Amino acid sequence: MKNPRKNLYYLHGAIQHTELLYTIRQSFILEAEKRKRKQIKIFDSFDQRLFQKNKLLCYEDNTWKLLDLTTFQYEQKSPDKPDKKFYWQFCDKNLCDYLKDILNTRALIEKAIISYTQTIYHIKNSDKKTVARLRHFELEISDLSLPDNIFLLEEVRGYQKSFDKLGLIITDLAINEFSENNKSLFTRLLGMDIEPYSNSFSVNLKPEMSAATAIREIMVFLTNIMRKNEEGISLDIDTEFLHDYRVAIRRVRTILSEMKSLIPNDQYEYFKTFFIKVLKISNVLRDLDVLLLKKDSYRDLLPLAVKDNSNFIFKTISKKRTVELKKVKNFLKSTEYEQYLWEWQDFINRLEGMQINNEPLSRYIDIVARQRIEKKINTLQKKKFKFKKDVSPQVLHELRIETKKLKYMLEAFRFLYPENTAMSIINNLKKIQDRFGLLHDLLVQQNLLDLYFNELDAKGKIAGKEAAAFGALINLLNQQYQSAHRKSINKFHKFIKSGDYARLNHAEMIEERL
Amino acid sequence: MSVFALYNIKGGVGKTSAAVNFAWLSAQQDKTLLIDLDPQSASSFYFRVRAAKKHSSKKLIKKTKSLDKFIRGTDFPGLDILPADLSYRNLDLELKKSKNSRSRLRRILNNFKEEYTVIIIDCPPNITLVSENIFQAADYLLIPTIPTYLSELTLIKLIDFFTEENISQKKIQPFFSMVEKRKKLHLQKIDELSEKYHFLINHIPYLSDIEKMGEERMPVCSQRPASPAAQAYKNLWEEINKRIKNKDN
Ligand SMILES: Nc1ncnc2c1ncn2[C@@H]1O[C@H](COP(=O)(O)OP(=O)(O)OP(=O)(O)O)[C@@H](O)[C@H]1O
Ligand SMILES: [Mg+2]
Repeated sequence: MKNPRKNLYYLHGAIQHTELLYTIRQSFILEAEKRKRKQIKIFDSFDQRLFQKNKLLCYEDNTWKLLDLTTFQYEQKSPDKPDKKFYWQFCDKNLCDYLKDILNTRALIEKAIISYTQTIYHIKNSDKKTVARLRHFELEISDLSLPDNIFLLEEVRGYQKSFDKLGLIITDLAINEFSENNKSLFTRLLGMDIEPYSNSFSVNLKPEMSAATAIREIMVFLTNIMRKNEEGISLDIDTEFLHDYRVAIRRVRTILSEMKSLIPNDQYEYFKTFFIKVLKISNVLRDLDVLLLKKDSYRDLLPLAVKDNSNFIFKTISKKRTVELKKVKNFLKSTEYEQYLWEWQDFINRLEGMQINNEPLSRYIDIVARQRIEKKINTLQKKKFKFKKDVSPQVLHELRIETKKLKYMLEAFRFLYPENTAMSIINNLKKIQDRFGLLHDLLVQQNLLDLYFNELDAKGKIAGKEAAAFGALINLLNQQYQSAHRKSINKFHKFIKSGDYARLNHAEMIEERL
Repeated sequence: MSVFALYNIKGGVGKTSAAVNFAWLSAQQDKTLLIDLDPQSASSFYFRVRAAKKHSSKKLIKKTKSLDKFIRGTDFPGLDILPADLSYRNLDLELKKSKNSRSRLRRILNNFKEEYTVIIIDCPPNITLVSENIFQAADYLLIPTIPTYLSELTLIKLIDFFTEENISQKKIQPFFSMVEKRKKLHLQKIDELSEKYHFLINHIPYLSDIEKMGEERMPVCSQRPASPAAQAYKNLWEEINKRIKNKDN
C-alpha cells in the first residue's frame, strides 16, 4: 500500500509565510492547532551511516524516533531515556536490532540540536473534512545561510487532488521544495557533513600509470585517512577512529614493503621504523577498546556468583585505557610525529620526480603489481604443502602474514582483475582475517587481564570475589579461544589447500602494451 | 494485526458509536483502519467521509489489491477509514458468488497487515453470510449489549451459532451498552448476565454526549476527552487490550 505523500518546502525568512496561509484560505478552511515550542536532537555515527541510508535517528518528547527521509514517515518510535551511545543500550528490541546492523560498534554522536516552534494546520474542505495537513516549523538557527522556515505538506489518504492543488499554491509563491538539487542545504540543516568520512579503499588507479604515480596516489589516499582520524582519536568520540587509523597504516606498510625494491632503501627503512612505532604506541589502546566493546556480552556469560564483581574488572580496564589514550594523544600532538609526517608527505610528493633517475619507478603499475601479487600466490601454493593438521605456529604465522599482505595488495590493485574474481577472493581473505583477528583478540585479552591481575595482586589490592571474577573472565576467554582456534585453522587450511586464489594468475591479462 | 468487529444482530445498540470511539482511541497509539460495512454508513458519516464514486461491493470482493484506493484519511493522523456505500446492501450476494465465501473477508484484510496494526469493523445488524465472514475475519467480536431480557436471547443465539460452526467462543467479548443505572431492571440484568457470561467489566452508560456525536460528527473521545462518555470508552478499550495481552502471554 502506498504511503500518503509528504513534501518538504523551505523559506529564508517568514515573509511569504503569511501570504501562503492567506492564499490557502482562498480555497480551503484552515484550522490551526496551538503553537508548540520543541527541541529535537539528531544523532548519527561519525561516518553518518544512518544518514547515508536516508534515515534520521532523533530524540524528541522523551522518545527515540527513526525517520525515513525519503517518505518522512517515522519507522520506529520508542519512549526511552536520552543517554545512549551504542546500539545495545536501546531498550526497544526492534530499534536495537536495526541499529546493530547499520552501526555495529560505532558510537552515536549528537549531530545537531534544533529548537523550533511547530504549528499544525488542518486544511479542510467545505464539508469541514480534513483533506491535507501542513506543518510549519520555525527554526531557531543562527546560520543565516540556512533556511529558518520549513513546511511539511502531508497528503490525507484519498484526497490526492487537494494535495496537488496545495503543492501548486506553495510553489507558485516561490517557496522551494527540498529535492536532490539542494540536498546539501538539507544535509547541513540536519547537522550532517556534506562529504562524510569513508574508510573504503577506493583509489582511482589506471593500468597505464607509472609505479611512482600509482604509489603516490595510494599513499596520499591512505595518509589522508590517517590525518582525518587523528582528531577523532584525540577527542575520543568513537573507537572506530583509532581502528581506521591503524588499518590505514597497515595498508601503507604492506604496500610499501611490497614495493620496496622500487624505493631507495634508506628511505624505506626510515619510514618503516616510523610506522612500526605508531602502531606499537597504539597497540594496547586498541586492545583495550576491543575488550571494553565486548564488556556487556562478556559480563552476560560470566557465572552469576561473580557477575557483579566484574564491574571491578572493567573499571580497572577503563582506568588503564585512560592512561593509554593519554599516551596516544600526546604522541599525536608531539613535534616528533609532526616532523615524521611532514617528511613522509614530502617523500610521497617527490616520488614522481624520482622516476627520472630510478627506472623501476617508471614502470607500468599493472605489470609491477601483477608480478608482486603473482609472487604472493606462488608462495602460498608452495607453502601449502607444509600446512598439515598439526601445523607449527611458525608456519601458521608465515601463512597468515602472506594472506594478509595478499588481501591488502588485492584491495589496492583489484582494478587489474575481473571484478568478480577479485571480490570473491578478497571476501574469502577477509573472512579468514576476521577469524584470526578474533583469535588474536582473545589471546591478547587474556594476557592483559593476567597482567593487570598480577599488578593488583602484587600491591595486595585484590582478593575474594573480585579475584574470582578475574579468573572466571580469563577462563571464559580461554574457552572461547579454544573453540574458535580449531575451527579457524580448519577454515584456513581449506582455503589454502583449495588454491582458489590461484585463479588470479590465470585471470585474463590486460592487453600487452609497448 | 488485530481485528475487532463491533457486532450485534440487534440494531441500535451502540455498535457504531463504540466503533468510532475505539478506532479513535486505538489510533492514538497504533495505525488503525476503521471498516464501515454497514450500508447505512454511519461511521463514515461520523468522520465526514464520503465513499469514492466508484466504490461498490463488487470492488471490495474482487479487486482486493486495489482496495487501498478507496481508503480515506480521517481528520486524525493514524486513523483511516474504508467508507461504506449503499451498494454494500449487495455484499451478501457478492460474497455468495465468490469461492471460499466464508474466509473471503479475512483474506481481504490480510492485504492490510503491513499497513495497520489494528482494524475495527463496524458491522450491519443481521446474521447472514456477511456475518459469517466477519466471524472468520475478526480476532474478537465486541458485542454491545443492552441489559434486557431480549439481549440475552440474541447473545445465546450467537453462542449457539459459534458452537454449531465450531468457531472459538473466546472470540466473543460482550460488554454492556446504553446502561441506565436508575433503571432497576438494567442493574438486575447486569448482575444476572455477568454471572453467566464473560462480560467485560467496564460498561458504556446511557449519556447524552454520545447522542450528540451525530450533530458534531466527531468521536466524543476527541471532542470531550474529559467527559464521562469519553472516560467510559477509554476504560473499556483499555480493558479489552489488557485482556488480549493476558491471552497472548
Ligand atoms: N451510550 C449511549 N447513550 C446514549 N445514546 C446512545 C448511546 N449509544 C448509542 N446511542 C445513540 O443510539 C443511536 C444508535 O446508536 P449506534 O448507531 O451507535 O448503534 P448501532 O448499533 O450502530 O445501530 P445500527 O444497528 O443501526 O447500526 C444513535 O443515535 C446513538 O447516538
Ligand atoms: Mg451502526
